[in-house]
Amino acid sequence: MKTRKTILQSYYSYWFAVPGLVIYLLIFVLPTFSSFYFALTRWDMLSSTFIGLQNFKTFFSQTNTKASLANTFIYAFSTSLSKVVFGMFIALGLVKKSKSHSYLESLIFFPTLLGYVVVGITFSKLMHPSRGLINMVLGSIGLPKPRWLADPAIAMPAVILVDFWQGIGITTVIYIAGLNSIPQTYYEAAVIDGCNAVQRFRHVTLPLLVPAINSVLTLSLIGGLKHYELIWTMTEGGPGYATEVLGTVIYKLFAAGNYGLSTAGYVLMFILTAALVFPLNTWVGKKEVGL
Amino acid sequence: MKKLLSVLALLSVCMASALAQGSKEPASPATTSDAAKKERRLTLMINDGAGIMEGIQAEIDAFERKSGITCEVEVVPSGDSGDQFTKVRLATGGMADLFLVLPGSKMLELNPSENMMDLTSKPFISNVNSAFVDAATFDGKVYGVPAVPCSSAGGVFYNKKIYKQLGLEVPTTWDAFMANCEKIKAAGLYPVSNPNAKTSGKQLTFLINYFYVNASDSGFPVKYASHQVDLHDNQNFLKGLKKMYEFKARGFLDPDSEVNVHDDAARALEEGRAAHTVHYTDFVKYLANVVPEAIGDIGFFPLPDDNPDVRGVTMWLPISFVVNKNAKNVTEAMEFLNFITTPEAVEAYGSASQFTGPLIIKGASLPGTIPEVLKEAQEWTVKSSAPAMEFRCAIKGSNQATICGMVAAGTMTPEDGLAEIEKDNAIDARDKGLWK
Repeated sequence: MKTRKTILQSYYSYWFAVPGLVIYLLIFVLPTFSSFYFALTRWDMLSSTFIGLQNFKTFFSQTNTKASLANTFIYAFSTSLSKVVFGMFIALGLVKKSKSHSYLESLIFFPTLLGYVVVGITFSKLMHPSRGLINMVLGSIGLPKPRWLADPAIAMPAVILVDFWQGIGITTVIYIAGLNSIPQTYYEAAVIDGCNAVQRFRHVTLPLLVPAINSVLTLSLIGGLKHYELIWTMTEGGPGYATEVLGTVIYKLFAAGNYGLSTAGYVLMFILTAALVFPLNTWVGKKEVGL
Repeated sequence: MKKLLSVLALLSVCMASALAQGSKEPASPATTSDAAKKERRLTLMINDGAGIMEGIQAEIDAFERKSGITCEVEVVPSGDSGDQFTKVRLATGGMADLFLVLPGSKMLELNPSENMMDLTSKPFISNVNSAFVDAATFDGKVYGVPAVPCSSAGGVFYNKKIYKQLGLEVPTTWDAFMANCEKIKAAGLYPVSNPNAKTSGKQLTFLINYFYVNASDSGFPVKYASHQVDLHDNQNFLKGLKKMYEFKARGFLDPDSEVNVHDDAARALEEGRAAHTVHYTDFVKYLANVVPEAIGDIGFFPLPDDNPDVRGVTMWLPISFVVNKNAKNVTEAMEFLNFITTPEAVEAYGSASQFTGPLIIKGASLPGTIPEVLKEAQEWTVKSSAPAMEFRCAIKGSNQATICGMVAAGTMTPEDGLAEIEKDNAIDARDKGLWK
């Protein structure tokens, strides 16, 4: 039979979590739930009128919403899949200790330290069709000079490329950590059993790397669905609706003072992100193999 | 016992001398009237707008010196947080005698008839540019005067050197403007280079054309706010979009316009690669920074339309002072407003902040060191101007800039563009509770 003192003692450690939990509830959970309420209202920051699901109907009636939904998926999946795949190969190359290994690692990671806005402004200048550095270099070696952010067909690939450049660092670091946690004994056993490099990768590395793949995929997918700062500073969603994503639509509504509508858009983004990421996370998680 | 007696004696001497002192005071009449005279005070609440706060403070200091009224200034944040501040102060009754608010829809949001004093009959109103007075008028009553004497006038910036080289004259009609552009194009230069990359640049031609909406029907915004009319009921909205479209359709537009920001357009204009930029006078600070030695080559004329006798500039108006309806020091407040609408106050402003655009206080003139292009804009501001639509009407859809950008790039026709803008504005109007 546990005395009252021992029960308190066993819950003692939980009390340390209370301050953090309170802050989390106040700053994250409460605003999330209040935003669910405000999405159902006409809101001007000082007073709100309940109007039910009208905001969602209006949000979908906008001309650019359909284009933005398609673009959001394209942007999110392209950036996250490219980071998942290329990140792994870069990490495989960097995990071997070589002379330039740590220098290359910092070089790959450095863009992640820059803010989205800084990267966006810098690349929009570099990608200027006539006076940007990229086209000047291409022109000097006789290659065609694409009108990067002005051409609707290549504006989205251009933005995806910049997002990839910025985000590859952190995915590589996660993969390197994952690779380093695989015990060498498995590789030694595989070599003894007569596996070549490709087989070692397929049967030892890949299964044990699934947790890292899961983290990278989840984080970059959520980021890709949510982030619009890079797109906004580079193209503001243009040309036309070529790079319009959910985030830019919501931003414009907020800037115009349509707070209820923009909150509804944000709730929509939340639902979409949850609906995509949770099942994916669970499915990939099932493929995890114990060490 | 002896000690106690000596202490008591000392105390009584002290008290007696104190009483004697006290009884001396009322005997001198001169000091009474000074002590009874009230010090004149005035309370002001100003926002910390970059580049303008110093100028406003200088105006207040000059007023203090001149009138002897003590001014208590409270500085609060500007922007959206400043708006909340103002609303809260008004709601709780802690507002100063004078406070700042942008004319137009921002002023309307604060319910002028309930919170601000009516200044219509005051003599100093006639010292202010009519476009400003227009934007500070609701239900026929004027509520504010400019706190900052500089406005921003929208029109066409042009390269005088190119005009001289090709023997061109400043166009007074749209057709003449297009004819000039044809000659410039034939000479191998870009007739127009507009900074269409960002929201702040894309929609300028459409917004600047509002002068002609106002000229044909100054009551349009009020009817629009109550949904009695829509944008297609006034042909000048479509015309504004058509003008933008024509630049691209006739090959007059610099192909880099779609990615150009203000600096790029300023560079193209000053380096002589482009001949015109449609912009407002905030553009002058870019012209002054990008190629400073070439700013003397740049001139200004209003965006032309069909009638050479009806031409003018569209104005973006600065923040204004309004009087709190429950102000405690009303006489002092009115004296202050009288002062800041004089050229003397404008000079005080100029001693601390830069003049960034045409002046809207009558009788004040820009110093000789101001670039020629600003002086030309100033002439038009005085001659013929109208406030931009945002100062008369709170309805503006969230996608207006994007739609204007598509028309400017030639990927959407002006007719489709207008339909889209109407649809977008309707969403905004309904969300703000103006339309059903």
